[in-house]
Amino acid sequence: MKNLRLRSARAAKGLSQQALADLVGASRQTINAIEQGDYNPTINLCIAICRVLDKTLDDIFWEEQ
Amino acid sequence: MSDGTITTITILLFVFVLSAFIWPIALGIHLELEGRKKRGEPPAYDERQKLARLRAGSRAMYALLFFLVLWAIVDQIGCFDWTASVLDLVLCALMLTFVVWSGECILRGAMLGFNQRKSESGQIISYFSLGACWTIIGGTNTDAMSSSLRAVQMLMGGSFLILGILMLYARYKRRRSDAGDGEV
Repeated sequence: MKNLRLRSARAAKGLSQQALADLVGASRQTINAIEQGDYNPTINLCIAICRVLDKTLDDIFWEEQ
Repeated sequence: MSDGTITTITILLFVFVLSAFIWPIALGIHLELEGRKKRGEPPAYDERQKLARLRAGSRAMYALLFFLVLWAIVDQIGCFDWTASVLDLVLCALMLTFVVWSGECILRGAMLGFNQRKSESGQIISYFSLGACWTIIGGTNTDAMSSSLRAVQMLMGGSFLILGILMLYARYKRRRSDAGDGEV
């Protein structure tokens, strides 16, 4: 399932995939894979992403039923 | 054979045998020192890339096992003479595992680390150059004595060309993905 909330939060911060990747210490492909729903990140990476985007884990990664 | 020649050969053999013990120790010390230098530095590959590299390693191992079994069966049947050559077996096995591992890493975007600033174009050019070189060498090598080596050379040429094509495909895929990235 695509993570559209991550994509919109990133866009709201004015960051490209590459910029976000540089800030969290990951590759651009990894950010793309998370947005596309092809990769489940570890909790450490989730926290790093949330810190950069000023969001909570629930905001970005909690799947609503 | 004169005494001087025998002494020289003995000394050379002694140095050769001694080096067999010395170089692993020297390599170990070198790796440890390099490791200490790099400790504390940020990792080159992110978690997804590490996972992709491990999976690629696992696939390469299975491909190698399959290849060895296949080689053993062909050797037992005895349809080809060149299966008796251990050198060919080792070279083909090395090339196969290298191609499977590298191919998977390239397709999963794990060939280069996220903070490694290596030239992708340079890699593509080197793969195609190596592929062309080995293919030409294998294609022009008409020596009957080295017919099996010729097969290995052609295999190496083909393998590098495949890696070059995979690298180009991965680049095309990434550029297409970049276009739909929603860059802001």
